[in-house]
Amino acid sequence: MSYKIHTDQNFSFERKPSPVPGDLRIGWRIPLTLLMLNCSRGKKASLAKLNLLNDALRSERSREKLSKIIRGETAHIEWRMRVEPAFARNMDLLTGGQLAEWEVANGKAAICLTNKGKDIADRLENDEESFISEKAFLREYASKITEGFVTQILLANKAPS
Amino acid sequence: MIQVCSLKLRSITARTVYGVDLDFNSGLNIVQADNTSGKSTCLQAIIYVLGLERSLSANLSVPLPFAMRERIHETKDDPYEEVLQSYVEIEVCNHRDEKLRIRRSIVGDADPKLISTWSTEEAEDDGPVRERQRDFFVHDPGSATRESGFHHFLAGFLGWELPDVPRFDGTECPLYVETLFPMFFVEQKRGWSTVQGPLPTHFRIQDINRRVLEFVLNLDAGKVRRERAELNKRIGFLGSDWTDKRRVLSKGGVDLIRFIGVPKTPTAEFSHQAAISLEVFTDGEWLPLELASKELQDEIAKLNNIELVSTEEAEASTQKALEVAQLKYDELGAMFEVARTEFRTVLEENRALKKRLEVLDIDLKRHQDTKKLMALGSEVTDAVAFESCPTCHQHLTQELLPPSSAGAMALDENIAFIKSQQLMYKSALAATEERLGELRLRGRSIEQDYKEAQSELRSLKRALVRPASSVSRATIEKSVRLQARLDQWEEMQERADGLVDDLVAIAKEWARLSSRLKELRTGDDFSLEDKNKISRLQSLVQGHLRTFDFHSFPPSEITLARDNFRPQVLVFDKDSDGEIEKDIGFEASASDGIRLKWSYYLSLLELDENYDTNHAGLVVFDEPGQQAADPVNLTSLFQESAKVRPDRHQILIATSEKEHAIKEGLGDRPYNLISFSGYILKPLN
Repeated sequence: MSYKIHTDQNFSFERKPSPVPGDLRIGWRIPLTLLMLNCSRGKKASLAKLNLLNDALRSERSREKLSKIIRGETAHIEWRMRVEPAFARNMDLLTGGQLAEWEVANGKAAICLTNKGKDIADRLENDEESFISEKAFLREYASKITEGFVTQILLANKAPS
Repeated sequence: MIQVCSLKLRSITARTVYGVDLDFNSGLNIVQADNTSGKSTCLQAIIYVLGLERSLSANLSVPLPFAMRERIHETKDDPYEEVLQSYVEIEVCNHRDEKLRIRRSIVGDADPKLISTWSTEEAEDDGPVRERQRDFFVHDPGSATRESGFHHFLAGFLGWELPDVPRFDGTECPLYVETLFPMFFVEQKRGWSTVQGPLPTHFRIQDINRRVLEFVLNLDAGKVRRERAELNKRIGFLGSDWTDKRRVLSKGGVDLIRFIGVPKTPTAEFSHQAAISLEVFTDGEWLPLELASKELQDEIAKLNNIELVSTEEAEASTQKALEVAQLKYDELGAMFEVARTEFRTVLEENRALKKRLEVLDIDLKRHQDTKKLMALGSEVTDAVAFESCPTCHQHLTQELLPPSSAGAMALDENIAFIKSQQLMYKSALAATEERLGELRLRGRSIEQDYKEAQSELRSLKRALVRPASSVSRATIEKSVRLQARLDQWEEMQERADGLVDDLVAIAKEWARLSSRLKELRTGDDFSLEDKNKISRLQSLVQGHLRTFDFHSFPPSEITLARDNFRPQVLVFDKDSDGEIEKDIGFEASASDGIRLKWSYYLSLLELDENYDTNHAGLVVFDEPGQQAADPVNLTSLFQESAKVRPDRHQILIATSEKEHAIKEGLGDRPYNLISFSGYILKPLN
């Protein structure tokens, strides 16, 4: 079967842009990362901690799970550490945009907010209308998620050798 | 109405008590002194003592100069002394001739958020006059609404009932007293820049100029709009009440009955004629309840007429009935199974839709969070929403996604996309819910039939094994069973009737409110009285403009805008070949702008001669001539101001015009001149 199109006009097709899940938006993830760093001790955190928080903050269920571990209701081993490729891109943008910078603390690499990053993070923190549930989680549990806690989770996940 | 009877300023240092006492009359009062001597301080002090700083700006800084806050000296050459304590006190009276002394401190012991008042009370039996002291707070939440808030009290003192007005965020707040005073009080620095106000915008009230003017002019339009909002709210409540009741009906609040003809929302038709049919599911189909009960009654009657026979005689017929019953039993069992499978499928679909909607909700929230950040200003958005790579400046079309050939949707487009999906899934969800309700109902009906068939089967089997000579009970049992079902139906019918009555009542109320709303909707909101008021105001303004020698336009071409009552000018437009209305703003010269402001404010005051308005009866002009580029002649303003009614009106003017010029201009007209040389705040001890 063949069709003939009778028109003397040129026409073209345009590729429709595809929808992006909200958590893969730069404009969502960067502020979230700033908030994570802002509530960490000394405004700095190891990559492992950020990955952990990043994982936890992305769904209600994982938030619930992490809070159970923190409260000691569930064993550390229950947490599955995941590394998300998009998060690596996000970190690149964060450092590239001079919102945070890498440094070495206690022999471990850590990422630390710059003054610009602190300023922006404070303004995000004070905005009462956005990131409500995420901020609520961070305010409640951030002080308990220390680097030591992250190390415990990592060790618990290590395969027995 | 409010009139300031006296004003007292005190600024106390370690050595000296500085201060001033001013007495004002009703009618025209002129405070005359050279520049930078403290005239404005006196007028600003009135704003301060009434807790109205926020009509000037959003922050709460004290609108008074150094001399009242930090340091003061006697003359320009003396050394400064530190202010240890300072306060403002005024005495005011209102239309009910109540007198009130109000004091608020600036520096020193009392909290500036506290305002103390003393009202004089006529004691009984001609005893001594007692003063009653009451303290109020300002600038804390509730200052306008709570009993102990000063502005709540002040509004009551003025005889005002402040309406609730909508804000930009959709909530409501009272029309704060602070928003009204700029229409009576022209402050020196910013007051002369615009004809109305400038009214404070930081309260985030929608259409503030219009709301304030509607209140000051006491127009019906505002009331009409409020009534409409109230009606809309109540109609909304009725709607949700209706939905709730309807859900009770359709979701098996009444067992085993299906309702046909209950509209999704209340309608006028329903209130007159509730055409509802009730249906029951029997013998595999939906039948109108009336018909079904009739059939059932007939069947019971028939059974009751059958003569009782012995088991032996009935054996053949019982055997046959048993076969029929068995068949029916099997059939119902199969039907029940089918219904159950279908129910399970729909339920599965329903759950999947719910889950999908949940995910969409979260996704939408994330997008909206990202969008809300824009409100924090470009500094934040630029920093967190990268449009290009900070290092190589390539466009980042992919957000954080792995590279693909198609670009990513823009934020707004994506939000719209999610919302349209939500819409679709929601309607699908609603469809499955409805289907589930019906299936549940049908399942229950079949189940009941199934159980009945089972017991019929059992009783028939028992009948066959009874002693041959005894009376056959199968018929009686069947009759009893059917009677029970009939009773159940009747009861259901009664309950349903009750609910339907409720629905009819809701529909009636709904129809009544809707028709009232429709009445309000026709035409504009202005009543006849409103229109007269506005045209009277317009002619008053025009009259004053003539007296003040306004010459940018012929005064007769100055009209008032219908939306916010701002003066505008009719000019001939070449394009449309007709007259169009234009904002005066930049068209008039600076000095004419000031003349327009005088005219407008005096006219608002004078309007209460013939009409009922909410004007405070007080007009304050701080330096009415100073802002003009060329010196304006204040004489005509003084003369016009001296004409106001002393029993109701008070005008306070602070000016640096020379004393003899004022006296010459006013002649023997009634006025009160308060003149100063040097600083107004002088040592008192």
